[in-house]
Amino acid sequence: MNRTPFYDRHIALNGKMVDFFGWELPVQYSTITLEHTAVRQKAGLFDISHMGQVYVWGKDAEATLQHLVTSDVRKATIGKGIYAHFLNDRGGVIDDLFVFRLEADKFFLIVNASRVQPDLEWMKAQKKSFNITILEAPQAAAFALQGPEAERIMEKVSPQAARLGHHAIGDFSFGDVTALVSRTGYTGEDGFELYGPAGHLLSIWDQLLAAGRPLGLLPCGLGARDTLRTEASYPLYGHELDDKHTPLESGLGWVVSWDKGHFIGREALVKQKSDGIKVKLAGFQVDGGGVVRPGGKIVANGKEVGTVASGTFSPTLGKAIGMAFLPMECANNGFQLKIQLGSREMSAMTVKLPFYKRPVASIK
Amino acid sequence: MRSPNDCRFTKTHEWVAPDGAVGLSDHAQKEITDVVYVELPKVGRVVKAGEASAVVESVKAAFDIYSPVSGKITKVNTDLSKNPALVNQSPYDNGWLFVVEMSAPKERESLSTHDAYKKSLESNSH
Repeated sequence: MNRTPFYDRHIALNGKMVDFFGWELPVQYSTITLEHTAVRQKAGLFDISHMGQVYVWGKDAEATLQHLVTSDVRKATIGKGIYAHFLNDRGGVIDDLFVFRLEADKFFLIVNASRVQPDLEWMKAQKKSFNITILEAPQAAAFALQGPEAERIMEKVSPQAARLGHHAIGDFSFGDVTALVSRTGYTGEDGFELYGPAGHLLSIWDQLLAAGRPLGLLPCGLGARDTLRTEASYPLYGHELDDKHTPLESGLGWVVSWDKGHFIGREALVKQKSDGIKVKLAGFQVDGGGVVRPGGKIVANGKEVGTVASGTFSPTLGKAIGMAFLPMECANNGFQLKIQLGSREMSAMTVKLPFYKRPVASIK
Repeated sequence: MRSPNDCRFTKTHEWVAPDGAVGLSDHAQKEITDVVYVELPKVGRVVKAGEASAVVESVKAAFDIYSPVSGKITKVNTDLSKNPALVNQSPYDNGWLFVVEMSAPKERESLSTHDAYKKSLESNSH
């Protein structure tokens, strides 16, 4: 199994290690609820070294990416990032990613751990130019600092990085080491993600943990990462996104730039948009006890209508929540569902997504 | 206060007190962490030793709880529906799950003492 550069830190912090797509990562250090609450109220630190870091550069880098992703890459000016999807020609999602422009002809892509190899093969198969290089950063490390106190903690260690704008990226120094820092995250809170060589990031992790502890910063595992992103309704590849569903069905139509010109999958989306979608990703809340889990069977009016894509307990709401692709007639708010897990059956009701939004007062 | 020293323990981490009360060991609650829901058996149900009789759910996963002894369920801990975290906070006392009227009390005597259970945990961790 792969170990990230933070492995020794996780063991020293009492992390309970699990296998995540071939990576040995902590599911939790204390409890999921404590770590979840720290991120909603204070701050949390997450090892995300398993994520794929891909550099794309060359004279034709922009034109090639425009052809490969749903978003308009021209909107990612130097030092800015944009969320995007790779689609197959049926409009199904190959991966979701962040595209940052570091220089005019140099881009930095963050892709899912489980999708690095299929992404690279697909990108290389699709490129039509020799004036472009696609390279995965080997042995790269990454971690995220998330939560309403993230900016204050970053300020103590790198005041320049703390001033990054929404979805911006840049190189910043932390004493005698440097890292790429972006104002992004996967928790529904304000925060930063840091990328770079292991030696540098280990030092910055230690600096931020020391600076943040007095402000309530906790190291957080994959368990809290999943409950936080589910509350914020951020999709996870293989759950809310897959090659059988389009971004329109996942409720992410905004990642599609209709007026930027051609990109792979566009024709299928145009057709689906005019025909109308048949299924849609919906959120639901469980009434009473019980926690829904991925794979649970969803029944409405005695008929099986779908499968739970993500399901967990929401520490913020104190209730179980989930998401699923449902036929349009079942996807409106307030629709009653039954969810079967083995021999157990739970009642649930569809609700508007996301389950959790940051308080407006917290926006900086 | 119920003492774990009066309880007998299964290999699957349940305890049973002399009065037939059943719960989860301190070790098990620490491993499960964050109990958010407990599904209890119906009063009057007859269970066999080793039968899945309750479900304890944490944020991350659901765990089947096996009755350590055979008999009829005479009481369930209704406080857990409002406060499932009692299983974490007080595994041997307020976090009990259900009471079995034992039909074969010898089953209980054949289970591990607290000391033997603790020793088995130590040997598992090495």
